[in-house]
Amino acid sequence: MYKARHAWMFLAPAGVLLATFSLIPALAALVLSFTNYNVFQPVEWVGLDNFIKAFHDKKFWSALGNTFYYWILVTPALVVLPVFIAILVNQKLMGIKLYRLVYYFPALVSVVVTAILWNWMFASDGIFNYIISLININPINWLTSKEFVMVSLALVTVWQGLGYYMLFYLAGLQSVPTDLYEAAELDGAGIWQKHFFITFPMLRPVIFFITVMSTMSAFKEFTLMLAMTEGGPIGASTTVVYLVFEKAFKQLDMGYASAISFLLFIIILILTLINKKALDRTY
Amino acid sequence: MQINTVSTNKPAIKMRKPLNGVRIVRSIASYFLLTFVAVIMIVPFLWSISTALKGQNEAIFSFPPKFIPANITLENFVTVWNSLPIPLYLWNSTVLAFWGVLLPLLFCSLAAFPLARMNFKGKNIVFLIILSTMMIPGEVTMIPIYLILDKLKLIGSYSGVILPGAVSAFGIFLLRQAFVGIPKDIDESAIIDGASPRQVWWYILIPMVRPMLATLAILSFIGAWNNFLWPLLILQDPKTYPLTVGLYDLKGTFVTNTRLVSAGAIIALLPIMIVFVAFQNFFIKGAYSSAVKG
Amino acid sequence: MRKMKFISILLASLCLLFVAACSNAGGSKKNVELKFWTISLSPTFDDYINGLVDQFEAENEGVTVIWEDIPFDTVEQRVLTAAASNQLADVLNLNTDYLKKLAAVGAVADLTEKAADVKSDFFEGVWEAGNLGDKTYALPWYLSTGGMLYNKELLKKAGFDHPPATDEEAWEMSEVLYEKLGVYGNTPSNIHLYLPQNGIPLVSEDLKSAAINTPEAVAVFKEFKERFDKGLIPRELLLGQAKANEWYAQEKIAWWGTGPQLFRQVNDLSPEVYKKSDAAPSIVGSSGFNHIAIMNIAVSAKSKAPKEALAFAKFVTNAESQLAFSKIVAILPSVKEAAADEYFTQGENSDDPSEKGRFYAAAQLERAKDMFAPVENISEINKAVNDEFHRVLLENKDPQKAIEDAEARINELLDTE
Repeated sequence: MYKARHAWMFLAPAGVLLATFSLIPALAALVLSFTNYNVFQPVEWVGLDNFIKAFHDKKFWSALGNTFYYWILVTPALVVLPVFIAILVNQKLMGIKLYRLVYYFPALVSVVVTAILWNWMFASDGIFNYIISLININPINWLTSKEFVMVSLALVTVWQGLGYYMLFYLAGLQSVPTDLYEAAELDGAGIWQKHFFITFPMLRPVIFFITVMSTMSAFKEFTLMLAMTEGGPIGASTTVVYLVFEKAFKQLDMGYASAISFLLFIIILILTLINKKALDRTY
Repeated sequence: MQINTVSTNKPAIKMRKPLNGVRIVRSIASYFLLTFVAVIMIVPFLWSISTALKGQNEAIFSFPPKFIPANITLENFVTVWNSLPIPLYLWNSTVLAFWGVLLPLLFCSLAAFPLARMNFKGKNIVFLIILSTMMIPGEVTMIPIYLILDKLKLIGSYSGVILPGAVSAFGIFLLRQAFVGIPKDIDESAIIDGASPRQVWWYILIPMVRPMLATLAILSFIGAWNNFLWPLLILQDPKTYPLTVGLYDLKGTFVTNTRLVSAGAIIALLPIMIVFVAFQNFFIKGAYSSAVKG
Repeated sequence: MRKMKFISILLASLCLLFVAACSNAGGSKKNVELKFWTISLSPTFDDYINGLVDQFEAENEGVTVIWEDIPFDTVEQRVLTAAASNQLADVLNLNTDYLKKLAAVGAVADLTEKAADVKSDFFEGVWEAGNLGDKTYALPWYLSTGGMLYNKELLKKAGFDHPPATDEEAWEMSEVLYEKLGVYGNTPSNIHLYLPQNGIPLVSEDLKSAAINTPEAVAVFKEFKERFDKGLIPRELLLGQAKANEWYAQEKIAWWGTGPQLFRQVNDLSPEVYKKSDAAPSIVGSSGFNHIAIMNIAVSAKSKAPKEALAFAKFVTNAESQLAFSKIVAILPSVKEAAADEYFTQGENSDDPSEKGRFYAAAQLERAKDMFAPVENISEINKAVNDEFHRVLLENKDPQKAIEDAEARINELLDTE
């Protein structure tokens, strides 16, 4: 139906920009992981030294564990929950646009403001401890204990992501032809059946998108940790990219930072491939 | 064969649902649920808003926290407006945001088309390579990108800020998914009718993914509007600073006037809210019926 | 004939113009451009810095100084991207630990000999801040010793009429405050400073090995563990997640130990609490010295105008410039001559805690020194000590083991140099 040359024509403009500003820098970063680059001194090839160092580095494994834990807490929630919110705001009610805006708010605000607000709510005398005191639970060290810190950070992320991913689902829902629903209703389908047999299958491309994107975001997250807990307590909320940032900018060890990024890249790539096998489907 | 490409039409046969008790109860339940969720979303911001409305002599940090200012005042907004060239910064941000929305919309939708529709050798590899660019954290690509911009002599110009983000793998991926959701027979009928790929793309597919395009537009706008680090690193003339960088001046050395910073943050947030609501016009329930009938 | 005369006059005047232009060009010096970067000083100190720049340019013909101010949380990114493309500033304002990192990779020029002429102008304990090993890489600029802002009302409610003067007294008062009012007194968050201030350096004098493993250190850790178990040490402040200025403004802590230039933050957060506050000298550790936070001025190793850059660095840090700076905000100069100015002896009886605090801070200058050992990895060493300390308090780790682990880690970090 379509010729290959058409394909390349359409890909060309984006391709050039992407190659220049995304691909080449990514390759450069990958190459740097085999060196001891620190910006100021001449570059020296060190082969696999950085990778060996990473395998022996306790902080690297701890960061990896923290990141996986964070991912498990965040991604399933952000794939499933926003669907319901999107269905909720897809109705033709008065003022619905305003509700959509309000739900989107958390996604708009900068990390710094979010950190201030949530630090305050998670404080030992903050709102959350107040609420749980009403049901006779002892105050929890939300951000100051290694048991709870990742859960708390995940909570903030989910709060921010609900509105953000809601938008994609909303756009997806909007593209579902309405006569499909009308036909189903004529056949006597109730709400749950309509959603199960029509909505979810039609949303599959969006679900794939969100799973992949939210996985990538979860694995790359660090600004939230930087703003809220500085990787503490005692490294319990240090993620892999946080480690990368520290090594690259604070400790001037760009080569090692690139190596860690390379390992992270491999992990994300594998997870994305698994996702693709499971969820992707082109007509 | 009818191809319905116009958005706000009521479909030919509209089944009017009777306005009965069930519907009213449903609506009320919906509003209740909507509002409950809304409160959870918005409570943290009340503090930010109330801080911006508090006067110099009122404590921001008191215990327990006071949400409602004793004397509501707009003086912080006025001070911010007067002490910084806000209109200039707003204009700069608008220019950056304009290109930061137009270019991605154009290039990403072009690139997404073959990835969703065409079968060519190397398609999967290309798609994976594009996705891969998102898997490397920006912290380690920062210096290579800066060096490339330096070689291209783009440091200090808006192009240096706009181009690196002009095409995002994210945008390509998003629109690819949008295209994938459209049945392929639509393309086929058009091609049988003699349409070229470009016509299929522009006249058929693009209109059908308007909500997703609007989504990408909103996200690109927010990304471009809130961009802080890159403009800071690339731009050198203070007169070209966008709002995010300009507002940083409100953080004084040693002492910060928290009220002014809150007011500034709200000023920066307003255009985003306006754009968000404006683009909502592309999200209309029931606007599309399937395009192939009979 | 007339035409000839006209042409010759024209030619002559042209020649004159040409000669005049040539001699002017030959007479002016080559224009040198210096890039000067500061950390987060704009816009508050725009006038002051621009004044410095103008004055230097006037005194040094042919030199132009271009000033750029960098927000403090993007300093590393700015420095690295600029350095990678050879556009690093000639004269840089840096904080002490980043300076040591940059010195170790050869990014900043060795000033040991070139700045020997001004060394004696500075306080001894302060000069070391710019050192790596025994070489100097930066000139000290403005600094801040400690101070104490305390809440008169809170202390009165607990039965005290004066702020604590020694560490022991402070802890005793903290216990009373906690029992009676549920508020905190001492809120330690800098064990890496507390130890050296109380006679337990982290690194040995020859900078080759860890010095932290002493019975005194273990005792200190044990003491703090007991206090923590009694509830006297709030977690959020210990871990640096909550800010002391906000807690002070909410009257959750009775005193705040920090430099006087920051006191006014409380006024921004809660004017009422600021009015209830007063200043006191900071508590000095048993070593007799307190830590001093210093900002430095360094010169890029790859500067294209090293002589002029050095001259500018010396100019910015000289007595006159620093004195003028200190008069605008409650920071202190690092030059002995400036600090001796009678400006710093005023304010003893001021109503404004900021001014009073400055008076006390200036009086303590002689007893201040940089507690950071002049080694490359000092920030990681500090972090390692803090981590072990947190493990003792939060995870019940054995203090002896913690000190030993800290020692091992410090030795590891010193080895890589």
